[in-house]
Parts: sequence; structure tokens; C-alpha cells
Amino acid sequence: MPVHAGAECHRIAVCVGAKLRGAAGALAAIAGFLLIPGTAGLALGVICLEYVHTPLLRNILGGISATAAGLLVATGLRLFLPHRRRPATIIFAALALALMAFSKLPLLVVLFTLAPLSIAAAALFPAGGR
Amino acid sequence: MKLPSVLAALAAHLALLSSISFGGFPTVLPDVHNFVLAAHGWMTDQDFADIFAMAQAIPGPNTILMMGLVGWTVFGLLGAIASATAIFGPPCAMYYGAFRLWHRFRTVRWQHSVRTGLAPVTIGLIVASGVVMAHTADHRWAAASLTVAAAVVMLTTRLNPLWLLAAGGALGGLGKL
Repeated sequence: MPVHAGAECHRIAVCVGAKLRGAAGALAAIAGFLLIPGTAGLALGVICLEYVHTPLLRNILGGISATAAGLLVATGLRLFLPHRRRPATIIFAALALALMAFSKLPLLVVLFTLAPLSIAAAALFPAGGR
Repeated sequence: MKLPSVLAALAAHLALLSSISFGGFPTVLPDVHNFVLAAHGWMTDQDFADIFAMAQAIPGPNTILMMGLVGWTVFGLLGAIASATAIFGPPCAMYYGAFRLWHRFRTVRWQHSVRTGLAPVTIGLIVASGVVMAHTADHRWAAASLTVAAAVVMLTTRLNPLWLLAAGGALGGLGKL
């Protein structure tokens, strides 16, 4: 399981660009993977925002966001399945979910509280901690 | 015209989030939602859900789209540019610097502990993101059912998620939600 669960293509592109051509490669990767598609996508999004008050577009977007929320939950669960027998994973995943979704604490606080504890647990109990 | 401090606050917050988020786009969503809605009231749940849907449906780098559109809604073109830069700049710089080091130490034991330790936190944050977006977007039972159905289909089949998004959009467009 990679640390970068949501590893996005631009991050991979920067790594590959840097490996092949150093700093220039990384910049070229950023331009190709981010600047051009990002600008085009943003332009399309801004046009959509202009028409977002029409009922049809609003309904379509409502359907997409409801679906996409389900896809996010499924992505998390799919990543969780291989670790389901490791008690420490269950505990820290549940804590992260509860703190972030329901406590309204900033990510900074949640991350800097849970990540060190979770890493310590992984170092102390490589098998999962029982 | 809004105050320049709004632009600075948004960009600074997104830069901070992108610097500490190792799980990518989904892990920062609940925080961004909390920051732009609950803390500052810069947009409504409806605005946020619409932007989320667009970022999923439009091809391309969806983190940049999402944050760029958040920036656009809060502060127009300048907001879009500042937000997009704040969300991709720090991680790109860090990846460039850290990639070689991380790669060199890849067999060291502590790196394994870091990976194993961060994984559950990332997983929890991604599920939290889905829960927060469902709470933001689903105001009716039909929409909530669609969220659950999408999760089940995604988990039990190998169907490309784009088909699910298209089906969800079609159901919404037909006024079924």
C-alpha cells in the first residue's frame, strides 16, 4: 500500500520528469500535466458556473456529486480491505474518520495528532499490535 | 469587491493543506469545506457540492480544478490562480526535493513504519471526505441512496467509475433525485 493513496498524476509526472531530465524535466512535466489541462478544465468549469442556476445543470451536478461521494467512500474502503486484520489500522482509520468528519477539527490538528501515534504503533508492533 | 485579506487567507490555507496532505485530493476536502463554509461563510453547501461535481466530471487534474473553482467562487480570476498555485506548488516542490531522499532510503526500516503508520490515517481521511461530501450534497433520500449504491457498485464490480458518474449525472438530469 503506497503512502500516497491518492497519488495524482502530476506528482508522478514531477518525479518522472525529475528523474529523466532534472529540474527542466520537472518543470516540463508540470506544464504538460498541470498548466495546460488545468487551464482548459478551469475555463470549462467557470463556464459551467455561469449556468449553474439552470435546473437541468443543477440536477445533473447533484447526481454527479452524490455518486462521487459514494466513490470516495468506496475508495477508502477498498484501501482498507487488505489491512482489515491489523487492529492498529482499524483504530487509526476509525479515529481519522471520526475526527475529520464529525469533530470539525482542522486537518493540521488531526494529522499531527494521529500520524505520529500511528507511525509509532507501526514501529513498535510491526505485525499489527494486539 | 472583497478584501485582499480574503485572497491571502484562502491561498495561505490551501498552501498549508497541500504541504501536509500526503493522501492527495480527498484527504483535504473536509478541511477545505470547513474552512470556506463553516469558518468564513464564503459559499454555500450547494456551491461546494456543484464545484465538487464539476471537478469530478471534467477531465484533468481534479485537485487543481476543485481548488481553482473554489478560488474563482470566492475571489474571481485572481482567486482561481492563487488557489490553484497554492494547491499544486508546495507538493511539487517537495516532491522534487524529497523524491531522491525517499528513494535512497527506501529499504530502511523506519520508512516501512512511516508507510504502514500513515496508511490507516489516509484511509480514514478518504472515507471522511466521502462522508462530508455526502452530507453536503445529499439533501434527499434518493440522493443518499445513490451515494450508497455507487459505493456498493464500486466495491463489488470492476466497472470504470466514469460510467457511474455518468449514470449518476443522468439520473440527476432526469429529475430522479
